[in-house]
Amino acid sequence: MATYIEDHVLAPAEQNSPRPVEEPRRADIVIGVHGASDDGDIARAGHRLGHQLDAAFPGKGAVVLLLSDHAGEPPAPFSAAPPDVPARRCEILPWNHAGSGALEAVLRARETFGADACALLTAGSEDGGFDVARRLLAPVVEEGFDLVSPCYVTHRYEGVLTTGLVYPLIRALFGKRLRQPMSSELAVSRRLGEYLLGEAWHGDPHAGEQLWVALSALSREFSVCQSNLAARPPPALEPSADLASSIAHVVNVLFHQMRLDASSWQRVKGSQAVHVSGPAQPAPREALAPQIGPMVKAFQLGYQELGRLWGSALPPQSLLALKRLASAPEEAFRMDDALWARIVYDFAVGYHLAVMDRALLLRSMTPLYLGWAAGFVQEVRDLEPEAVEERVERLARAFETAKPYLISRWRWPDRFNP
Amino acid sequence: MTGDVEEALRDGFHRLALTVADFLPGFVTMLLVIAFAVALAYIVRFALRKVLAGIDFDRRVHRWGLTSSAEWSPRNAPTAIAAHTGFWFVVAAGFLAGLQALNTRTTDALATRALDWIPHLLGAALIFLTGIAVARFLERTVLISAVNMQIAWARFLSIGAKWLTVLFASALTLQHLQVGGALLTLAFTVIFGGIVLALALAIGLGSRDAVSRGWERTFAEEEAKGRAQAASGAGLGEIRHM
Repeated sequence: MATYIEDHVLAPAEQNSPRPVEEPRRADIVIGVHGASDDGDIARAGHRLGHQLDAAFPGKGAVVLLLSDHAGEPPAPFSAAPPDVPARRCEILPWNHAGSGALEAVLRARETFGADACALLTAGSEDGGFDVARRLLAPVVEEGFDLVSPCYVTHRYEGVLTTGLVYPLIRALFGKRLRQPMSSELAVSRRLGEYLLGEAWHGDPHAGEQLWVALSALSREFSVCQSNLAARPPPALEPSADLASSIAHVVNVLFHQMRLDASSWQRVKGSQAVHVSGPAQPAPREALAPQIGPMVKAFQLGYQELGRLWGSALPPQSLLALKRLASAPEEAFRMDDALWARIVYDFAVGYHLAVMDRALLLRSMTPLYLGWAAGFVQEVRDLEPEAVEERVERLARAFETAKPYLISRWRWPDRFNP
Repeated sequence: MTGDVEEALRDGFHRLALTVADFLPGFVTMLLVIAFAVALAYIVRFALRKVLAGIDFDRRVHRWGLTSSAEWSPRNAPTAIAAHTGFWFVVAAGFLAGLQALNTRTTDALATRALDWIPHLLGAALIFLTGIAVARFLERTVLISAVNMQIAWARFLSIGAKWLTVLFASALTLQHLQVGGALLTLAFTVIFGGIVLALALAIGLGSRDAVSRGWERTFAEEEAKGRAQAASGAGLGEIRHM
């Protein structure tokens, strides 16, 4: 397979190493393609994308980076472009980002090429990601948004952690209804890119993660938009992590950001809709309902064994409610929205005060989350698709309603100590 | 005869007076040293209370896993215990230093040996406290991990991990204090080896049943799935958390 850079064709041997470039380059748009297990897939996606971009953004010079992170290869040897260097038509470049994440590579490449916008895409779409790139980048290039987050069409049992915890918590904290803030695809403006690599980057252990981008943008009131997209791309092949580790990682990013931005989120009341770009996508095929038995059992075992540990973070009335729930039959198993919101807030305060080792505290949340998820699955199983979104809306409102409780506990934790 | 007795008594009293006169300055010095040590102990206790309260020691101790509960009365709070320990440690050290002032062979030997032993005691205390902290941390880690893996005997596993670590820390502490000698090492080897062997046997023998039960459960679930599919199609889907 050949790699096209303008009219030049690279030999296959050249494709595997970054081409040394003497002169500085400039581009208006930088797009990084990542996420496939095979470099060939990334290259194919990048080429298809590169050849179509000119039609989507005429007059804009673009660079498509075929991201790979093979250790041992030297980093791509490009120097920063001065503003007077003209942008070329679409170029496709192999881009090694060994030692850093794909998002960081794209943000730094945007800086190097002096681009106005950059996007990170996942290889795997049938059209090479052209439609996704267009939908993500258009709000940045044409409407001036700083962050465009995808809003995939998902079935009701997909992204349950986002539905039950990430979305309502972020919405209550920052007052923006960003439905899917955790994604491996996004687009970022020059302004936000400079902020992320500058002020936001230093000293933040989660810098470079997708959720961190959304949280950083929301906490500093950058303009945020979400773009309707089709199905979510297949997940990148990563070292397998168990559910507890994944939940702990995501919640750790959220709670850490809460500590950093405590003064800003405490001032926010209610929430506002986020601008949605693009037409709504057709609804996905309905998925079969999962079994809730294993999740209920996981919660019951968790209550039995970890109840005392939870007592470090949760007040007695929450523990009492959990005790009742643990003895509820499977058919009637449902965690109240207000209880779940207060549990999440109590753990956030526990994390803030470090009532016990933070990693352990977060890992001990898994059975609680599974308990909530079991109730959620039970509730939405027989609902119409529109009613599922209404159910999620009720949950998000419960988080907003319980926010004064969070603020009180955060400011005066001893007042609520059991 | 009477004169001899009188002279002997006079000599005896004279020697006694000389001995007392010789002993008295050392005794007074000892009392002064002890009084100074007690005063110093009060200062140490006061300073420890202030410093530990300043660094929120009670909460930190709970976070490090040295205690099972964050609730305690003022008397048994970690800060109070540490302050009392510091107080009595200074008093004891002052008493031993005071004994040396008596300048007798027995007290000298006793005080020297006791004072030499103090660094060992401090080292042993440090080893034991570290062992306890590690044991409690391991207990929580194992418990949470086992619960997340949905192992029914999570509590048993965590308690096992905790007590094995405590046992190991105790053996190290005693060895550091040079108590027990070779007998201790032998006893520890036997107990620790025995526990590990018992666990290996339990897991080895138990896993046979567990594997067969697991297979039975898998087959039963597949059958149930098939029946459910035939009935309604519910319960077959997969939940995607991320």
